[in-house]
Amino acid sequence: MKKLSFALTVGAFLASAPLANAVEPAEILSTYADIAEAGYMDSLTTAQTLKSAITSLIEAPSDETLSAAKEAWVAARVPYQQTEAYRFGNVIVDEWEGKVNAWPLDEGLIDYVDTGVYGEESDENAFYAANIIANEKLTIGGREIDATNITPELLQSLHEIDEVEANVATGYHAIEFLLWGQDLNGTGPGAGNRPATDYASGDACTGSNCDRRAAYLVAATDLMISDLEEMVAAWGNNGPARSALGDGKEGLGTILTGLGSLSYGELAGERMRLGLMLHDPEEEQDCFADNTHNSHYYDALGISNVYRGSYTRVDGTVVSGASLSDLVRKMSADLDAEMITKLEATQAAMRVMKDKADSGEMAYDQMIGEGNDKGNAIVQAAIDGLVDQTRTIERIVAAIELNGIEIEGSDSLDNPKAVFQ
Amino acid sequence: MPFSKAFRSTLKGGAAALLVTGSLLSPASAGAISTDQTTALLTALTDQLIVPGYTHLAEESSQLADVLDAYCTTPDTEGRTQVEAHFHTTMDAWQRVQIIQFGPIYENRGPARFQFWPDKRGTGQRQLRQVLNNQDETVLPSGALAEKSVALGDLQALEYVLFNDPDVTAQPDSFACRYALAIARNQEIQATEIVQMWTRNGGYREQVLSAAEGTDVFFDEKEAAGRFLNDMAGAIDVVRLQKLDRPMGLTLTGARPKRTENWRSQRSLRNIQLNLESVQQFLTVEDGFGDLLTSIGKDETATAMRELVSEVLVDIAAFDQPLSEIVEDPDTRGDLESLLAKLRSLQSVVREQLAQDLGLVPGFNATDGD
Repeated sequence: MKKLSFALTVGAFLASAPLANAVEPAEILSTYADIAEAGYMDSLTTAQTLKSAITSLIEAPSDETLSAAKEAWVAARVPYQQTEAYRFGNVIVDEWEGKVNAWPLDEGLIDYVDTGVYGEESDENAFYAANIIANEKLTIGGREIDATNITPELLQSLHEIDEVEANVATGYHAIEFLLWGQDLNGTGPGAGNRPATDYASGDACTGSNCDRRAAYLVAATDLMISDLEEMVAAWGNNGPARSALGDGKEGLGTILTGLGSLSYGELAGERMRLGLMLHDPEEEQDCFADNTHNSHYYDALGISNVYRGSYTRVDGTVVSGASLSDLVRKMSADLDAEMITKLEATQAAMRVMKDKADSGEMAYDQMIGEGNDKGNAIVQAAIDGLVDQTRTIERIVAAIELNGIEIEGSDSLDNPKAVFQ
Repeated sequence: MPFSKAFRSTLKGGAAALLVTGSLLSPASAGAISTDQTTALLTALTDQLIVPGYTHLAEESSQLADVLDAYCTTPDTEGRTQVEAHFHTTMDAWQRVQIIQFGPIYENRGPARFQFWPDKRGTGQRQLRQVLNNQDETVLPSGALAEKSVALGDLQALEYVLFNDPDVTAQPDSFACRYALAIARNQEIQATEIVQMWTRNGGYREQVLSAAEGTDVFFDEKEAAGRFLNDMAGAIDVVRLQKLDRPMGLTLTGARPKRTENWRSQRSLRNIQLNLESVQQFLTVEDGFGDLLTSIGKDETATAMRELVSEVLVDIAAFDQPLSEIVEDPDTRGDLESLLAKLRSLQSVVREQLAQDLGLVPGFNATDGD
């Protein structure tokens, strides 16, 4: 009897709803992969622009060339953050991601730090203040490191050394630290303030070892470019990430797992709520550049892009096609509307946060400060939006009965640690 | 906003459309579970485990605060013993309800205001040391800790103040002792709030129990049951990933004893035992997940889960060293590996078999990020 009543309901539903043509999972996955390819390609081209700016900085260090490099870094974050919706589900992305966007980092591994703020050692990390730039050779915990030549290979070998995730030697945040330096302003105004003369030659050099610092910056940027090239290829025609999406069911599970995990555990939880709970300026992702508001904003936009199957590229062109939204709308126009409403509510809350930071009124690290009720509320509203949209993502999962997606589709959900092994 | 009936039926019809045409997925395997049966499950878990669990936590933290109050004035050995005993019973009460990851606990800065751990970057500890070194009196007034970093007013902070250096609280009217008292009072207030948020008229208990009608929070009773199932899976995840994997490291040389939970008060394994006892209770309580499985002829799943949980609990009880030692001990570390393997099996029974048998979808967990 139950089956019959379902069939009748279906009939009524089909008859009453003006449906578009059928949405095939394969088409959704194709759009999904196209957006990934375009997003990583945009990340690559903006990283190449960053490289040019860094070359200019090193050739002629000045406030102008340093500012230009910083602007290029901020611009490079825009497309990259939108690709984060591809994490937590696509094994190939998960295994690769730590190389380019690992955070948080114990920056004393890389360069000089203010020990008054940073401290000199850590129970958790023997390489806490290793300072590779200042030391051509060093021995830590019985391990000898030859850092005479600062090359991409050296940085790869130092990355997450000693099984400590905070030993971040490569990627966006290592580069960010080398451009901005530590943010020593606490939850007061201001970002990191590294002088351009940290890259000067001869007597003009500040912070010592300017040539090694420049070599580190170049090596880290080159490495990031080659890592991004790898990911562009992975999403190209017959690329392994595109192929791994499978026949439809698994692929849809991958998409939803990524959207839910980024919304909830990662962005709302680890990156935003934690900072708010601790009221601590170190708990922000782009902490040297004070660019965290943008990173969060574009993460949320990336989630929306994937659901709606549409990505606006850096050059303004749009990549779009069949989407999860189309499929859900076919099942239940209300459920799709609920998802869109919630995504837009999150976007609006993130926009308030971004505008507040962009206006110069308060940076993200100030918003999360103790006693800043107004700032706290702005961040909390964005968190609430993310948590709320996760509930609807779960409803979508339930609605299309993707039972067991955590096991089938995602190492990151079943064992988040495995993705770094 | 509550869901409209129209939306609910449309959604069910829509989901069925995919299943009937077989275009996407294998058929759902939800047995014939009635709304009443699911509501009975929700009632059992709420009234027999959750509400009593939080009530117990509120009582224990209240007693801890009273004992600390007396001890701070007259710090003697007898008092010290009392303080430590009540710290442990309070922590016991917390670890029992730690499994619950939705509802009021998630409001207002979340579970971390009871326990912020792991402190991966040492942020909380840095803040805590500053308060102690500077004897920062701003943490002391009633209600002050509710506004400050969670790492200053939680049970981890209390453990640090009491156990890192017992001498600092042993002087009459010491700053450290008054700070410990402020934390205990903060815990009492928070736990009492949670109980009220569950039990008051129109509170969260009612949301759960009337989930079948569709509420502000729950689409239907199955969604509510899914939250509980998700909590069981989540608790096992936390034990595996945070409480065992992180301190163990990938190899013996990667072992990090100080990453074990509550190593200062030597109760890492006790915590894990309590967490898993809660998972067990979700299963064995009358009208709980076990009874529900039996009623739809899925005894096999119920039995598999019961046996795995029991085995795991027996294994934990068999350790006679603190976890911080075991992770570094080549002789006993292997036993942790086999415990982890069993926990992985238990995890897949919950996430796959139990979910499938009951037609529930486990949702996303806090551990789903990095």
